[in-house]
This record gives sequence, C-alpha cells and structure tokens, in this order.
Amino acid sequence: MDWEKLQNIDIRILYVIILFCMAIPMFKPIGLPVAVSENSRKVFQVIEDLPDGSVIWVSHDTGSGNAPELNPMISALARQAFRKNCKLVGTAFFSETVGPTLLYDYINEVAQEMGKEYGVDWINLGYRINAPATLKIMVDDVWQGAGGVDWAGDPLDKFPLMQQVRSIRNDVDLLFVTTVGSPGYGDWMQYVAEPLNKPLTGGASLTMYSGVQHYIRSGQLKGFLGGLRGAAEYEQLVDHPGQGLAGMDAQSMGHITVLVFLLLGNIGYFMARSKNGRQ
Amino acid sequence: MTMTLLAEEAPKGVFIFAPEMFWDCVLIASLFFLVFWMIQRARAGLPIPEIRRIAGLEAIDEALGRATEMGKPVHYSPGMSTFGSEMYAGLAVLSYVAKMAAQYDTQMIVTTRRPQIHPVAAEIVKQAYLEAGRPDAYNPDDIRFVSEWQFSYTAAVMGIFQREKPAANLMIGYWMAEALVLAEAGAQAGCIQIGANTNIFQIHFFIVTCDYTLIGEELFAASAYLSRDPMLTGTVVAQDMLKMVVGALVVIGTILATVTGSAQGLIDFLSI
Amino acid sequence: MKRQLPLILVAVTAVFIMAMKFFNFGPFGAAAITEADIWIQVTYEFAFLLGAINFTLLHYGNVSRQKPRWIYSAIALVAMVLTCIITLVDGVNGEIAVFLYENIANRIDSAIYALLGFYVCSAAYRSFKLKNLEAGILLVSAVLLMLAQAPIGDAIFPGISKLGEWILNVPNSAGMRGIRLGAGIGAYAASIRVILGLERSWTGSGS
Repeated sequence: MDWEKLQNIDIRILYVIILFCMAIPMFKPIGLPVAVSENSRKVFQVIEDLPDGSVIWVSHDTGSGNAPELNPMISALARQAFRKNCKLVGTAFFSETVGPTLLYDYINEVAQEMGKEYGVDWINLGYRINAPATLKIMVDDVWQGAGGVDWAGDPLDKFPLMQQVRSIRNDVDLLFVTTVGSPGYGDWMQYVAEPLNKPLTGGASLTMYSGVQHYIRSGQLKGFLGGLRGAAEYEQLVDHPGQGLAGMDAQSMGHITVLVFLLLGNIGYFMARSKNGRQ
Repeated sequence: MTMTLLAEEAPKGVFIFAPEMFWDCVLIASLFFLVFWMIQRARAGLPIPEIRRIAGLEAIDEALGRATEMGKPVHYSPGMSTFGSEMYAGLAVLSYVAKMAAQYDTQMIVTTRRPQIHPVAAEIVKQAYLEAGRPDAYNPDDIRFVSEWQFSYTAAVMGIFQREKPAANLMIGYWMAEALVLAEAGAQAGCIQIGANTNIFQIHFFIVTCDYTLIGEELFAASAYLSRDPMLTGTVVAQDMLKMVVGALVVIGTILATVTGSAQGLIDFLSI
Repeated sequence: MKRQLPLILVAVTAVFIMAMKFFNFGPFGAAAITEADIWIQVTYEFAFLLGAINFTLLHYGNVSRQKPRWIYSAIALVAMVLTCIITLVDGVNGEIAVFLYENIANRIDSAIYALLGFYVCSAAYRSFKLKNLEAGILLVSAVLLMLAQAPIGDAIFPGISKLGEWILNVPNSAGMRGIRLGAGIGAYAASIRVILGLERSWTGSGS
C-alpha cells in the first residue's frame, strides 16, 4: 500500500467531508449533552447576583464573520436579564452595520416574546466611531457619547430608560461585551471597567478565547464565554436552548472529522517513514 | 496618594502630572535611560551583547534565494495595522527584503491594506532598487494598495497567490483573523512562508502554517538583527533588561502569592 | 530635508501625545486631542485618495494592456465606480447603498471569513505530524482541546472538558502572558527607536 497517499489526501476531499459532516447534524441533531465550564457558570452567576432592575450595558462588538458564534450569547443574556427585570443599554463598536443590526434583532426577538418595550426596558445606541474616545465620554455622559440619539437617529429624550441612564459611572451596574478583536473587551477594560471598578463579562470568538484566560484568572473578567460552545453552555444555564446548542452537534462532528484526518495523516507519516527506514 | 491629592486640589487647566500614569512614566523613563546608555556604549565602541540567532530572519535569504532560482515573485505584506510599532518593524524588514530582491533581480509584490501605508511602502521599495543600482527594475504596479476592508484584502491576496504563484510569502507585522486564511492559502500555493505577529490570538495559526515564525517581540528585534547596527542592537538589549525587571516582579509576585497566600500588596504598590 | 522632516514630525507628535498622557493639561489638553483626532482623520482621507488612485491606475493598466485575466481588473474597476456613483447619488445611508453594503459586501466578507473553518482543518491535517517532541506537544494539546470543545469529547471521555479548561487556564495563560509582556515592552522599545530617529528605514533611507 502506498502510505504516502494517506499523508497527502486531496484537500478538496477533506473540505467536502467536513462540509457534509457539519451540515447533517444541523438537519438531524444528535442532542449530545453539553458540560458547563466554570467560566460560563461565572458569567451566568455574576448576572444572576445583580439586584432586580439593574442596568446592564451590552456591547455587541462583532463583525459579520464571527456573529454566528456570538449572537446566541446576546439572546441568552437578554432572556436572563429580562427575567430579572434588568434594563439593557446596547452599543456596537466593531462594525458600523453588523453589530448594531444584530444587537437590535436578537434583543428585540426576546423582548417581544417577554413583553419588554424598546426605550423602556432596553435601547440600542448603535455604532460610534473611535471607541476609546467615545467610551471616555460615555463614562460621564452617555448622551453626549451617543450624540444624543439612538441607533435609528431618534432623540434620546423620548426614551424613559435614558432618563435613568446618564453616565456609565453612576447608572450602569454591569458590562457585557462580545468581542472579536479591537475595539473589544480590551477597550472596555482599559477605559471603563478598570477605572470605574465595574464588573466586566461577556464572550469572545473561539479564536480569541484562549487569549483572555489570564484576565479571567486575574478577576478582571468575571468569567467569559468562549465561542459557540460558550454560548451553548450559557443557553443551558439560562434553560432556553437556542442557536448555540443547535450548533454543538455540528461542532462535535466537525472536530471528530478533523481528528480522524489527523490520525490518518499520522499513520501515513509513520508508515512511510518506517518503509523508507527499511529501504 | 500625595499626587492624587495634588491633582484634586489643582485648579483646572494647570499643568500637573497625571498620577494614574506613574508606573507607565517610570517604565518609559527607564527604557529611555537604558536606550541612551546603550547608545553611548555603542558610540564609545564598547561591547554590546549580540542578538541570538533568529531562524525566521535567517530564512529570509533562503526564501529570496528560492524565489530567484524558481524565477517566481516574492510576496510581502507589512501587516494589517496602521502606523505603530508593528508597522514600523514590518516596514524595516520590507526595506531589507526589497534591497535583496533588487540585487537578485526578483519580482517583489507588496500588498498593503492601509492607504496611508501604501506611499511609504512604495517609497521604501523604490529607494531599495535605487540603492541596489537598479532603478529601472522598479515596477510601481507591484506595490499594490488592495482594499481597506479586512476580508476584501484577504480575498485579493489569496487571488494573487493563486494567479501569480509567488515562491515566497513574507507576512511581517500585525495580523488578525485573516492570518490563517492567508497563511494557509500561501501554503496551498506552495510558498515558503515566513510569518511574524504580535497578536497572541492569532500567532498560533502562523506557527502551524508557516515554515518560520517570528513570535511576539522577535518582530521588534528584526531591524536590529538584519542591520547589525550596534545602536539598534543596544535598544534591543535595553528592552531585554527591562523585561528581566518585569520578569523578576512576576517571580516575586508568584512567591508572595504562594508563600503568603496573596500578592495584593505588590499589586496595590504597582497600582499607585 | 526630505528624509529629516518625517523624522522630526514623528518625534514631535509622539512627544506631544506622550505628554498629553502623562500630564493633565485641563481644557487645553482635551481640545488638543480633539484637534489631533481631526488631523488624523483628514490626513487619512487624503491617504485614502492616494490608495484609490493606485488601485485605479493598477487595474486600468491591466485592462488597457489586456494583461492575463484582465477581466477581474475590469470587474474591480466597474464595482468601484458604480459603488462610488450610487453612494454619492443615493447618500451613505441611502436604500440602495445600504442594500449593496449589507447584501453584497457583508455577505462576501462573511464567506471569506467562513473559509477559516475549512482552512483550520487542512492546516491541522497538513501540520500536526508527530515529528518531534515539540510537534508532539502541539498535536496532543490540539487533540485534547478539540475533544474538550465539543460535547462528543465528554461523551467519549467523560471529564475531558475539565482537562481542556485546565490547559487553557494554566499552560496556555502562562505562554500568552509571556508573549504579551515581551511584545508590550518590545513595542515600547520600537517606538523609542522611531522617536529617536534610530529606526529610519520607513523613510526609505535605511537604518
């Protein structure tokens, strides 16, 4: 047998197999249980420990590519927050269109289901250019930082919630930030959470998740959700399965497929090496 | 505490030190002092420690040589950031690579994502060809501003890999989510690849896909390493000295946390 | 002078920005930072114009000289010109401009990003070979984390997600901190080299 071939399988075959292995569970879920990590539990707990009616600042700092990983986190947060009658104030600093639109869609869906009203229970302030400068302003004057309008351009004075939220310093109890790069959790930590000693939590794309661990250990992040898996764990804690849990079977199948190919590649490598050694 | 009081009592508009920047100021002042000290040593001809061998930088010659032998172009990108320490480091390496490409008469394609970087990169390459005595070989069409959009840039560079089949791909700078896509596309196009990144979220992708990787601070040592200039090398030595101090603080903190159960005293001291 | 002026400009600006960080200049400081932000924005717009000119010249040259695959250059030019015209006529927030942005640009952006999923697989397959000790460590941690991140890992090896958490929390954090500290101090030193004019290659004059 030509073992070399196992090391050099046409990459297109790998791509097609991966595509099928990930697509099939989306139509026919297996429903494997998801173990909840300590980091996800911390995120749930820090929100659960807030007094009823607290104000949570949620920033959906995502682009279009990572959004599927992070959107379920926003839904689950909205569900947990609205159950406790907490208010949500939303922004998005990473992408001008993607973040604000998705933030609105995902919170709105939960809000409608739970009978919460825009402008009273939650608001979307949308995108602002130059995150560090805007955050520094919003620390003391949210209205000025937002340019006096919400994401749709409506003046803030028509929303009762904004009469209550004048500054992050005095009127916000927790920061929940999804993050895929910069602007992201780093800006929130540097300009808001650390100077004001506000609890900061949220979630990151899986690629970034490994890089935020030391902030969780140091307590600068009160837990953090990692990618779709983190979203699925959070959905489980909130006890409302959504897109996160639905994607877990696909992730399982994808990972197993890669592991099988890793195994094949290594078998090919060793067999070819021992054959060459004998020769 | 004293400084905080001073700041609170001072009338607005008065020039006064920002107390929260105390340790940042100490850090930068120490670094300036060490750099000046090393520069003085270099000027006086006193010995400056050498930088250890960095495989990724040694491999630049190999990459250029391979491209020359194969008669194929070299692709170079100084990364996705705008002007900042990573970009300056990337441009310094560009200067070196461009000179070599000019000497070897190898086509060099430079792609940039930031419009403000484009004229600077073009000037560097043009000057390199001039210094190599081959100004006629400089082709402005090879220095390409591609797109400001992260993934439009990525798609365009992937297209260059597939269409123009460079023999070597050098990605030296700051990279984000496009790191793996570009490096894997380069690998599939058969390039020998050298990557450099300071972004801890993406560096592992380069380690897996590139033949050589400059990890973190190795990028900042590149210009000193390639130029062998004692003054530049001195600044790298200064940076290493400061790193040792920071390393010592980490060790002290770890010992305190292990023995006494908390390093809060040290944290509070450093949080002045 | 052509080479000296950028060095002087960089040094003066850097010292100015540093002074703004270290000292409270009151209202003057805030006004100066705002003014600096405006300057950055204005210079950026001019630079963008240069980028657009380079883009146009490059692709126009490809089309007019009928270079191989010139059709792609023609498509790029038409797309750029059409987008400019539509945005100018319809406005940045106009219906058609937003439609193009959200339904073409954003979708293509997502598609390119989605390639990451496939490329992770092919990169892992090609690179994770048990060639030596380092490669072995990389391979073993990759396998453990892949199993830990998917529910099927726990189904096959109960408790593997805890091991995954430990790998992320302890060895991974240690490495990340090391790289971050080194890169942070390295960035400071690199900036000082630029401020002092020791690093001059970006002016085109070599170090």
